[in-house]
Amino acid sequence: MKITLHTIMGLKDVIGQRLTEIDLPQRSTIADFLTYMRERWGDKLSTNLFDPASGDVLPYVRIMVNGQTINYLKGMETLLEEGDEVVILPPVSGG
Amino acid sequence: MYSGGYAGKILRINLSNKTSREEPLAEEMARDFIGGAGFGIKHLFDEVRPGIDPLGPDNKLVFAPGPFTGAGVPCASRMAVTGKSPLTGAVGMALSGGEFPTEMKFAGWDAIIIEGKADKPTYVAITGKVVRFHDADCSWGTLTSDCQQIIKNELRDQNVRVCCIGPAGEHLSKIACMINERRAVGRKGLGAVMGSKNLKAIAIRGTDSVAIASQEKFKIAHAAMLKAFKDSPVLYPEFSHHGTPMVTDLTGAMGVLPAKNWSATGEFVPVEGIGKDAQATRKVGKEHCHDCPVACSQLKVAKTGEYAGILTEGPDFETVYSFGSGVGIDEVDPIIAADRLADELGLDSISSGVTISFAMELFEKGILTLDETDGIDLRFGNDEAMMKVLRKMAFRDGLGDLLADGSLAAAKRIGKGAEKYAMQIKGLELPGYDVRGLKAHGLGFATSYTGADHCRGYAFQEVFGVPIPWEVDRFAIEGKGKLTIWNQDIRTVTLDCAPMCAFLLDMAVPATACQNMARLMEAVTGLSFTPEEIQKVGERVNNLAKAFNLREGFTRADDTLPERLMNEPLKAGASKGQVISREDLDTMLDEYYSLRGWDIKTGMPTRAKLTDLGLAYVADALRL
Repeated sequence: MKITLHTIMGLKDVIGQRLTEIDLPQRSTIADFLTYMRERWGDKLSTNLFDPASGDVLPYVRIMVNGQTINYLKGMETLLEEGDEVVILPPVSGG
Repeated sequence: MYSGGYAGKILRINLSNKTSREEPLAEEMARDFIGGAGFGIKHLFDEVRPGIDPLGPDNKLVFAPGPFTGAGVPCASRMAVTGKSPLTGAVGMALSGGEFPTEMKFAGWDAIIIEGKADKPTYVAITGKVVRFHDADCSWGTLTSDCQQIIKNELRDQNVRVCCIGPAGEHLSKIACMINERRAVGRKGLGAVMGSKNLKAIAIRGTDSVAIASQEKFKIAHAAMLKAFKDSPVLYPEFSHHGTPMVTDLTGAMGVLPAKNWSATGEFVPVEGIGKDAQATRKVGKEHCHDCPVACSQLKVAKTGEYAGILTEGPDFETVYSFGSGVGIDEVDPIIAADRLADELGLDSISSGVTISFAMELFEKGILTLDETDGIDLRFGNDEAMMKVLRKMAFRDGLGDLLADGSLAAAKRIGKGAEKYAMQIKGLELPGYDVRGLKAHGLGFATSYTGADHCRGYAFQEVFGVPIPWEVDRFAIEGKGKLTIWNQDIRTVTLDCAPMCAFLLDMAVPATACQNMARLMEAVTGLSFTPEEIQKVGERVNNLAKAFNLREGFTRADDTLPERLMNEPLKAGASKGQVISREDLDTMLDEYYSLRGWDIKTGMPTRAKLTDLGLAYVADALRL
């Protein structure tokens, strides 16, 4: 199934574009999605997305599926569906 | 008694009879209201009678920095300017940074109160305790950068700091601002109040320093702040390099970057053309306020077409929205040019951009015709039209006269159902966060005592995901009353009364804002506060501002949102389908009023609440 990854800031610079289409097996979860990202972009993600020591997602990084933060869905076990948009936001502030 | 931070003196200037006098700053005032907006709103409530004309001689302007300004506290070269807003009729309070606030403290003043009206165009020059009134013959009619230079030359002092108005303020545009250097006292039309007093500028020069109560405690407090700055994952790594325009990318990704007068949020998302990366291609340098190690301000130069070579400080995110996505523009150079032009004319860049986007929507819908727009093709995306209309607004020329007092006033003159396209609350145009996908922002803007104000209704938890004081679902209605009160009270005391830069709270000390401020107050002023007492100052100031508005006739009905935001769900993007219905807003308002200790039907604070805050005299004034 096709999922759109939407990134900004430093994470966008690593991935190379704001919107990236990713092909994942049916019934993939956010955890699977992040595993795919780690395999595809590797260590380059570590300063923007993963703690290199623990492998966990960095604090204050937000992951949204169709605009909703995964903390209000099923977290890493949130199931993805064809056409979903995953937004990954690094810490940003200011107005 | 305080033993540092404060100069201990307030300067009262009467323009009608060209006199000035010094008044002592009482300890009770310092303790209960801290400074900045606290001082301004206290003077406003106590001294400005209900129902006065905001553009008449009875209105006042209170310029107030705070105890940390000039004391070496990072990010504290800030001041609040307070008066009755001609745009909203409510409390008008706007903040500014730069060097002027610090110069006020070096000149020995905790606040300057401007009263009356000069009989002809005038500027006031303050050198320490000496106040002189000068004819503004040479500077009246000038753009703001020229005005500042003329006054510096006349005073033969290139280091004097000048806060002035441009043509918009002189022509009493109700969305006129003040400018000091390239920084604005931006919103609520306070530039028109200055213009109504025939006051072109205040020039100030000081040679004193600000005393510190305890150098030892100050070193500890200062080091704690700098450590928080360094520990922030955002402040130096990102914000110091990119400034606020990076929020364009964030709000675009979240589907809350307002577009085309809020009719196309999520559909028209011109981040590639106007976002962080596009802005970076125009960057030529940085600026910083006094004692700021962050230097978020970006100097940019436009490169293309007729805008090539125009420099501006900014544009900040709000201006990227108001002169960019809001008016359907998808490239950076027109925004740079419009930002500079608005500053030079002395127009609030948010209100002027949103008012133009309002007119553009009316034009596209046929409610305004070419005859009524002086022949200007006012379609969304027409940057040349935007520039023309900006100039016309400042000089009240033709269509500009219709738009010079903001979108609500224009809508009332136009009729034909135009009011529902005016994106404003209490008359103040909305900032760049589409509240349909950020519910606490909706409540925050609706209940802000100044109207739809980016400095009052902000909920960084929703936009930036910071889980302080708790984690927040941006789409949820429940709990937003409690969150809004927390945000308003803490931001009021730390950012408006201290006053300190908002980015400090959002990026460096969100979890310890009140502890940080209590520590600084003790170190700088010698006054001891608990964090809870600090927060209570914020609550006191918000209640006093609310009381001022109620006395002016505001009711619960004024704490509302534009019709579009309650009736039109977002059609695309990451917030698709979101809306704040009338019922949703009422649910949030009920929670908010109830937890505030205000009457749910009227929004009136109870006598018990006001007494608890030390404001029993306000209850008397409101006849509670």
